[in-house]
Amino acid sequence: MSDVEGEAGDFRVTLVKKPRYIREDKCTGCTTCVEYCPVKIPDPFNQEISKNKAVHIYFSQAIPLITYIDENCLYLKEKKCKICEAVCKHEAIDFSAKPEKVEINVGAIILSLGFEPYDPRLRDEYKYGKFKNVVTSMDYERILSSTGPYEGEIRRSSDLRHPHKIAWVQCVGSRQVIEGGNSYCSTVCCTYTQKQVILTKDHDPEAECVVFHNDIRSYGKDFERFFQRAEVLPNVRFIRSYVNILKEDPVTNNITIRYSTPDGGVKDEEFEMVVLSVGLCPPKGASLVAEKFGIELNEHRFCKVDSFVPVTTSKKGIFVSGAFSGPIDIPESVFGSSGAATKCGELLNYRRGKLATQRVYPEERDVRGEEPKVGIFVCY
Amino acid sequence: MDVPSVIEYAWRLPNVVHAQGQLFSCSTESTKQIMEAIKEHGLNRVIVAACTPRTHEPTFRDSLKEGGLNQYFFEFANIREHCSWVHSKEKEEATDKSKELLRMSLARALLLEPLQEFELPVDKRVLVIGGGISGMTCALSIASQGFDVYLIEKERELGGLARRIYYTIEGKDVQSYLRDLVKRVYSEPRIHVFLGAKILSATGYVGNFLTKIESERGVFEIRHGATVIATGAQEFKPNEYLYGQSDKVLTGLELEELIAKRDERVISAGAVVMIQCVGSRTEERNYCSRVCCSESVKNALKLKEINPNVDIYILFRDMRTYGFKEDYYREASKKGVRFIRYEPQKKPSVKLVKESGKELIRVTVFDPILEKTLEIDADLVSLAVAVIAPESNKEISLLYNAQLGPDDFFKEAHVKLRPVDFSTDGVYLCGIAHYPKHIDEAISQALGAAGRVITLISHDTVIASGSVCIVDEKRCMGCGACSEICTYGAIEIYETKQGKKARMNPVLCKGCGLCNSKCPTGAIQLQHYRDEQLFAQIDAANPEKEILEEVKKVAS
Repeated sequence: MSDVEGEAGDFRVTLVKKPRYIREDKCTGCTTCVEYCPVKIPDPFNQEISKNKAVHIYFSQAIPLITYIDENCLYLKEKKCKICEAVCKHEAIDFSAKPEKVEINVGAIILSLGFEPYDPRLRDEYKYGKFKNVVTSMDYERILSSTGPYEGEIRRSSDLRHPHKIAWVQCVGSRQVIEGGNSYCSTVCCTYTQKQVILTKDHDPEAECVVFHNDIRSYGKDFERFFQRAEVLPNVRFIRSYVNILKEDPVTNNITIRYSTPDGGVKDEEFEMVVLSVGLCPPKGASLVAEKFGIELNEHRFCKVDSFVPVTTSKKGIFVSGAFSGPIDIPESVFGSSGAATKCGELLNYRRGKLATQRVYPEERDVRGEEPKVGIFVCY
Repeated sequence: MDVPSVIEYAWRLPNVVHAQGQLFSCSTESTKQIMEAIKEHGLNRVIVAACTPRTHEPTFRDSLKEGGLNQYFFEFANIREHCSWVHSKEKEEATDKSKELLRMSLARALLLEPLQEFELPVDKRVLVIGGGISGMTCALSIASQGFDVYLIEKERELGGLARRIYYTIEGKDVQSYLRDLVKRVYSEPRIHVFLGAKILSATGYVGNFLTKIESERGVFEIRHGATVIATGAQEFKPNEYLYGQSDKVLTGLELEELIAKRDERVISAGAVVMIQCVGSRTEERNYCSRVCCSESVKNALKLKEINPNVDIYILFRDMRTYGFKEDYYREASKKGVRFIRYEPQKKPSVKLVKESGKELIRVTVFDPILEKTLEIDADLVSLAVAVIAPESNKEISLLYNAQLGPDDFFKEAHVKLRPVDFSTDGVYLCGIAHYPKHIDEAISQALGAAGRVITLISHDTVIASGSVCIVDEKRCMGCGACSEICTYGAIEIYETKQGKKARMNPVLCKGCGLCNSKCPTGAIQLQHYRDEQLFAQIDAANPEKEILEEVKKVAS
């Protein structure tokens, strides 16, 4: 989004569409180019845990399901290679593509900028990037996924072994008034950790899971029962303690965590993997967006909303939905989004339906008398 | 599981002219593939073996329509929920079961028939049940978009639970907001308010409801196209911690009222104890009431503001001041409010004592960090009581076929995908009738519900399913078992020359399958789930027989 002009009811927004160097109307998503591409890059969708090629499909449910060329492409960097252009049978590669300016005219704007996961590198004590088997919850989310770096198998990066003893550290970057931390609670981490524990036990029933937490904040509908579901699993422990991520074994790359409990005092315990339950930060570039759209941010740099006028920004005709208004979970994002849509409806009601077109289906084929011809589609 | 072998098996089944695997069949690209395959191979039956028809059937039916095929020629084999997820540890067996489900689906698919859907008119008026902040917000948004709203409230005044809330934790004045909101409702000509209202009966279906109410203004019959349930919730009244026995023990809202009115008891209090999770997170009510931690912190801050010398103790299990509310928890802590954690096995206890002629409440609590039992003498004890669902939810649930959850709050159609809808079409949900929540969250949800209502009533018609029951009058003997069991009033028994017969109103029929299973003569068939279709599917479960060959004969 490069520019916005106008007012509620009549905004003119200028967008710059970055080139993907692929002709969208020609690419079939066959991925032959991906096979031949010689450049391997850390896969951005898989949290840079596994590798992908400089030309690749962003992720397996991407829309449209076609490739794009990353800036690490040899040709884009050094005018070399172009193998993809040679192997593409559909003439879909287009290195001459330039950024494209698109101007749109809209009556209202909804800002759904999302959030940025907390970067634990901001504080040395988390040892993220230093100890090999310390990962963030976002990394772990991809590790658990069947389209993730290890195709759904839980592995650790130091030796690709399956870890059987995993610790979660809660409130990473949240509930702390220190340099590099956020003072607020990120609301979703308690419950997503419980989900990850349950999924880990699904993958590996023998796994030992330990969650080091502050308060357990199961405040949402049915969350208390969900917490109990995780808590009663065998070999799962919830320990209320701050932790010190102490040391990494130079041979095994296991990690020792120091913690303390009222009964046991201070203890050191070794884990094969540590997951940092990172919090939610305002989206990158929030300040720039705020400036361009003329909206106010709150003291945490999320969008400022009045508690009696939620989903509404400080500027008329501009609304907000999802985590840009503060850390919230999916159900709240969904109904808040529906709320933002209805606020647009209130504003633009006088011209409702003016731009609508009727969807027309092709005429129905009469199949009477035909022999049954069955098509079967199996989802992976 | 082994998907390639399932595809290979699919090719071996009779009448299959095309079989392929897809990564995410529900994605836009994949549905386009299905549409193209229909055209390319002249398909007249489509089977998708994937997840659940509950969320994804409409997507695939649409692909059939795009491919020029009647959408009822679609069949779903649920190999995700029924195989790969539940049998994730038994890969081979899960694969075998997928093949069996696919074979069964094929048997049914061969017998599927094209069906037509109905277009029903949509009444543009809306009934909102409950005149609290959520109901009023929802009504105002709908009305401002040009639609009439009937807002019914059981009390003789609008406002709901918010009438007892004076300020938010952020310091906003709730009462003046509420007064303004009520004023806006009354000055909106499209909102028709009924106070002291009681629902006598409700019938109908999406787009066409008929609700009979009795109110201060008399008995009315209201026709409406959509219904919003915004019935709110209640404060739990405990029978522990001397509540109801001593006027020094209050609920959080009662304390809030004393603070707002600058009551002498609050101004002169030397010590106040707040006990969290009273009636919540217990065996009986196994849920967190969400708002009480913030409510206590809010009251504590306000108390400190008007009476800086007061000692405040908050006895808690987990402090759940989530999101930005955490900052107020920290502020309270900084201002000297003492937070003491207790374990549910060692709940605090209270007793009335007399200390130098003054009556006090002595609160005893075990502090697990100090490993000591503490005694605190308090002038006031405030109980952070549960938010509970009103008894009347059960009645409303039956009237509008709106499901309740395990704690008697209303249950949305899908926690994430449809958080303000019910599985019954045309009925929507918002506010604390759904679950306890703060005012800003309730307003946001009320706007969300308004958005869903508008999505329905901004159209002139709504499509009703073609999968409804039909009666074969020749076989009907007029026993009436069907009309008795039908909860939608879709079946009428009428006189003919051949005696009594059942007649189906296809618009009212929801295709639930009750009447056709009850019918003793097999005169009623649920289309798309006809006996022969289901029997063929069941028979095909048995691999020994050459069932499919038989089905093929019937189909041709």
